[in-house]
Amino acid sequence: MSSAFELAGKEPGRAVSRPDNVHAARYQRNLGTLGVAGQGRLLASHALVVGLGGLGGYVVEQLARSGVGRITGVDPDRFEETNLNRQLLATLDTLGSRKVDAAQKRIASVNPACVFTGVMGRHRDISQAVWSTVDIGFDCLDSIADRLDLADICARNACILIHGAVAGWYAQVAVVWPGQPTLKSLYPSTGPGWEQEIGTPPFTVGLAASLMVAQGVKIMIGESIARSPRVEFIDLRESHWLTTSL
Amino acid sequence: MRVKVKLLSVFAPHAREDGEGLTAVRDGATVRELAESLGLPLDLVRIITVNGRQVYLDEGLAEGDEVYLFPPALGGG
Repeated sequence: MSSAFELAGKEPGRAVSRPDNVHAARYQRNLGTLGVAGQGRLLASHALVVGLGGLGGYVVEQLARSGVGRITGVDPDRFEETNLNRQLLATLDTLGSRKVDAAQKRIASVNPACVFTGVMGRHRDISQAVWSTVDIGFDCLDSIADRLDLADICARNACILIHGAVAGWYAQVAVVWPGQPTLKSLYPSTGPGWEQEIGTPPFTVGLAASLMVAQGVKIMIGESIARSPRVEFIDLRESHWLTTSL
Repeated sequence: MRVKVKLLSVFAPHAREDGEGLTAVRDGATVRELAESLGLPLDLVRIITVNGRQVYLDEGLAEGDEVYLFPPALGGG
């Protein structure tokens, strides 16, 4: 197999070890936190990331660097200028490009052990073949109706869903275990969002995405986490962090 | 009575504080009455704490309570 790590190894100072080995140097700073067994579990995991905008861009980046072996990314859109303030994969070079293609290129350049498959479409376009192998889903959507629908589909597929959302200085993250009505409790209706009015700065997006990945990684490596329906709500303006049960 | 109210996110413009940063409300009022008096859409008042403890709309308030009212965030960035 000709891959980025083999090609990189041809130049002095650029040699890298096989990234599909848990002892590869690239995982050295992961192992103290995740453990060898945990790193192995990540390499064997399949994560589904629905939405490759602000949250989704940071989520796929961190999943790949964490060493998740397989990512399916879903988004129907292309990058535009208004994405540049906060979407990691939006650059001058990717404007006009399909988000799934930019994500695939980025992941290949970061970690060739991570196989990224793009679905140019919406969450309803994810095939049953994908659902049958997904270990965990990440809700990086921006519509209440789509978020609720995704949670229902995850429940039908016994898939744990990591929910994240942002608004201005405020971020919220929740682990939705299959069948829990967490998002229905959180969102009273499917009305339009107000994030365009309140803004979406990059630091809030990055924070929410990091919390989502941390929760997802814990689940993928088998750490025990609370199963009661609850939401983490973070106010960055007042440095206030609240864990609420629903 | 007066309570200290923190309105977060899109609720912020509904703040109605006096010169001491406090909000007047009927003695013994519930969170629901407070939220209604501020003109907040009740179906969006999903996350509430009083003195750091999570409560629901029917919680009764006391003089000097610190009340946080959050709406859910929606955006995916």
